[in-house]
Order: sequence, then C-alpha cells, then structure tokens
Amino acid sequence: MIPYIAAMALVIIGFYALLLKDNILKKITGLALFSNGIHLFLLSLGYRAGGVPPIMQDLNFTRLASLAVDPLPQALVLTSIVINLSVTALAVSIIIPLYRKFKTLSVRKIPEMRG
Amino acid sequence: MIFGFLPIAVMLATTFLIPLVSLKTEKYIIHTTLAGLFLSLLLSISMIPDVLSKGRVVYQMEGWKAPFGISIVFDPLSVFLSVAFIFIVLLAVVFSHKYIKYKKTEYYSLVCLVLVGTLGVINTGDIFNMFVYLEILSVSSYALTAFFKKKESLEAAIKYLIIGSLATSLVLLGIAFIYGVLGTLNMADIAVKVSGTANPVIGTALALIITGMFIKSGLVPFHAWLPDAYQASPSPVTSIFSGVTTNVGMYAVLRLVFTVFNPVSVLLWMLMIVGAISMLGGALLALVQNSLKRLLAYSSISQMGFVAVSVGLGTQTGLSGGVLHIINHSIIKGLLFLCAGFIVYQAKTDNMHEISGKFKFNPVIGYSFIIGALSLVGVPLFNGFVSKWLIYVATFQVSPVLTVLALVSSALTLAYMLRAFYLVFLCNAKPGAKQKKIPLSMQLPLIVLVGIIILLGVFPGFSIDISNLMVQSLNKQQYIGAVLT
Repeated sequence: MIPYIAAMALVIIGFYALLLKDNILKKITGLALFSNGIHLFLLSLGYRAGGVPPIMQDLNFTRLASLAVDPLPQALVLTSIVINLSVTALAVSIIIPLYRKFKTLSVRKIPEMRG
Repeated sequence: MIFGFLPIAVMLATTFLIPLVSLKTEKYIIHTTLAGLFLSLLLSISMIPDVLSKGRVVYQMEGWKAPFGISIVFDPLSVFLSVAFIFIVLLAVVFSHKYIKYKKTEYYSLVCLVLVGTLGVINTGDIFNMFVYLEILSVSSYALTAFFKKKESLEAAIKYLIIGSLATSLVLLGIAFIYGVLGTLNMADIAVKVSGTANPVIGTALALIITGMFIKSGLVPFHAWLPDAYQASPSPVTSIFSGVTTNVGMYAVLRLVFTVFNPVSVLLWMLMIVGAISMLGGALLALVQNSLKRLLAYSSISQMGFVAVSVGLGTQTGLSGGVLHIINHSIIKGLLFLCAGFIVYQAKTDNMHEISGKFKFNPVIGYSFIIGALSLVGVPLFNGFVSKWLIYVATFQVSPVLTVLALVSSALTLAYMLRAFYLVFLCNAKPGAKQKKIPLSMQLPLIVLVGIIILLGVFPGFSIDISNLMVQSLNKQQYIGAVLT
C-alpha cells in the first residue's frame, strides 16, 4: 500500500508545482516529479513481496510464474525514464537561452508568457 | 515479417543518415531527405492494394504472436492517413529548401523524426508503443518550435514543452491504469478484455488518455500552447504541425473510442461539446488576430472542432465527414501555411497591417491563398465543400442545433479569411513595392496542393468512397479478428 500512497503523493506534488509555481525551473522539476510518481505506480503494479527476478533458472514454468515479479512494467518504466531524460535535457537547454534573453525565469515577469 | 515496418524504418534511417551525410558538406542533405521521403511514400502506396483486398494487414514484430509482441496494423484508415501525411511533409521539405539557410542538419533530421512519430502512432497496434511514438513526435516538435532561438520562439517552445509533457504524462498514467486492470497492452487484446469488465478505473484511464490527446490536438479548453507554437516556429514546420501533428491526437481518439473501447454516450457528448466550443471559439478568436500566422492557428483549432463534433455524432455519415475533414484540412492548411510562410519570408513580419505595404500582389501566392481560403470555408468545387457537406448532413440527422453552430462557424471562417486576404493582398498594395522572384522550389508545392484541392473538389465521389472505407476499418470485431489470429 505504501508505494501507491507515495506514488500518489509524488503525482500530486508534481502537479501542484507544475500548475502553481512561478519559476520555470520549478515547473520542470514538478514535471519530473509527476512522471516519477507514474513510474513508481507502474513499478508497484508489477511488484511482488519476496519475488525473484523473472529469469529462468531451470525449466519449471509454474514455479517461475508463481514466484517471479512482472517484468513488463520494468521495461515500460525504463523506456519512460529515457524519454523523460530527453525531455528534461531539452527543457533545460531551452531554459538557458531563455534566461540569457529575458534575465529572469519568472513566468509573471516574462510579458510574452501571458498571451 | 518486417516488411510492414519499412515506411517507418526508412524515415528513422533517414533521420540518422542526415548528420552523417552532412559531415563534409551540407549540399546533399536535401537530396537525402527527399530520397527517404519518396521511398517511404512509395512503400506506403505500395501497401494500398494489399490492404484494400484483404481489409487489414497485420505484422507481428519479430514473429511474437499478438498479445505478447508488438503488432503493426495497416488498415485503410491508417494507410490513407500515412500517405496524406508523408505527402504534406514532402511538400513542406521541398518548400524549406530555399527557406532554411542555416542549421540545415538539425532542421531536416528533426522534420524526419516528426514524421517517424506520426507514422508510428498511426500504424501501431500496441498502446504503450503509441505513447513512445507520441513522445518522439512531441520532443522533436518542441525542438523545432525553438528552432530560431528568438525571444518568442524560446517562450513558445517552453510553453509547448510544459503543456505537451503534461499531456503525454496523463496518457502514460492512463496506460498504467489500463495495464493494472486488464494486464495487457495490445489494443486488440484490450478490446476483447474490456467488454467483460465493468471496472470504473477503465473509465478514468480512458478520460486521462483522451484529455492528453485533446491537449495534443489543441481543442479549446486546452489550446493555450497552439497559437504561440504556430507563430514562432518556421513556416514550413507550421504547415507540418497544422497538417500532420495535431491530427495525430484526433486519430488516437478515433481509434481508442471506436475500436478499442466502446463509444458510450458520455464520451460522444464530451467530443461534441468540446468540438462545438472549439469550432465557435477558434473562429471568434481568429477574427480579432493581427498576426497572419496566429489567425491561421486559431482557424486550425476551429477546424479541429468541426472534426470533433462530426466524430462525436458516432453515425456513419458523421465519422466519414470527420475523417475526410482531417485529410482535407491538412491539405488546405498545408497550402495556407506555406503561402503565409512565403509572405512572411518576403515581408519580414507577420503583422497583417504592416505586410500589405511591403508586398506586391503576386499571382501564384494570391490565387493559392484565395483558393485555400474558399476551400476552407466550404465553397463548392473545392475539397473543403465535400467534408463540410457531410458534416452538415450528419449533424442535421442528429440535432439541427449543431448544424446551425457549424454553419455559423463556416460564416465566421469566411469573414476572417476574407479579412486576411483583404489586409494582406488588397489594402494599400503599392504597385511599385519591390518584389523578389519566387524560387521554383517554393512555387511547386503550392501549385501541387492547389491541383489536389480542385481535383478532390470536382470529383467528390472518390474521396467519399475512401472515407467510407476508412470508417469501416474502425470496426471492432474485424480488428480483433485480424490481430489476434
């Protein structure tokens, strides 16, 4: 139960930062928290207490199926982490010239942000 | 069987071939891009006879059977949309040849990557794979929006990035819910399992995914990023955004609502209400714009609203009208944004009040613009009329109120397009204004698109037949039968 509550807390904090924080860098951090919450949720879906890695040691399918954790969410989360890395990298590489042009990262102080 | 993956694989290879080709000289980049696009277009077209005779062609990646592996599904809907989208990107790339003067390597590889994402979303049969391709498409779109690194393009790009990433995160959350309840990611398998459960979580998941897709297609409550991104990105890219990427969201909604899940009335109401608001709101906001590209961007929102209303009716005519309007809108908006691109390229500003003095009436641009505008309004003999007529008929069969709203929006479309035409081409045009010669690579795409608009408008039977075929391919039982064998 704890992982689900933690995942929900991460999603809510991320969403809050994304919507209400003024600084763009904090918004990006909120975005990272939001997606990490989703990753935690996905991982806990496939988690099994005392489970083993889904690697076939001997040819006993029923034993493996009753013990192993679900490998698919792990694959999904790995893919999604890579995607998030590229999104965050792109965001930061846009933020640097943005700061050089406007001398601020506050959404309220950048006049073009309003329209 | 790997053959079905080829159009996407060719584009992916082209994306990474471009930086290699440009190591010594940037001269051959355009040739490489065009060769890749042509090959991909030919491969997609060569699939049409097979798809039409069998109804649906399914490839299982690496030979893994359907619920376990990733399947690539080709049906009339996805094949015709792929051909249309590759064609629009091809013309935009031809137009870019003289338009983009520096950073060519980055530009052309990102454009190819946008196409990879689009083709992937349209052809995949796996819901997580759809998310991955959607992210490919989105990340390359953010980078293209920031391409000029001017103040407004950086601001538009960061806004687009934050809102777009929120959308894709919502889609991922929905997919996580679906996997948690049903334990599968294959779309056909989901369609089988979802009919046996009455779990309320499925509804939540679908709502999350559809909200994400609405943000991606820029319907009205979620449209804040769209005008900025369209205004700030290079004009050929705007033509790709409007003609290709926003339609991907509508395609995903169509596929998920009608094929994978059941078209329950709540969802259809949601589509109709959001569509009607976008249709009217986009048109009203377009009426007050001073910037040419912003005007066309709001007009895009309005036309997406037409598609959503028509799809939301859920009837055969409504779906045909909606699907046909997706294709027609991408052709028309491709043309209009390329015209706008040329005008902005020549006048160095996109404020319509300032453009007119710096710009002499030019026959190719002028006639292309007015034909595109009339077609967008839905004047007979142009292709926009066919899909708009289908939409009017379909809405009238369900509720005449929606027909009135659609007609009002069309009238508003006429108003803002005529205002734009008057301000840009007619009002205080000086005969002596200096005029650059239009390069052939910029004229050719416009002439081709005008030709297609008139051909599809004069022979409406052809496009109506195609749209009926495309709607039939949304059939749930046939989809399940073809994928899970």
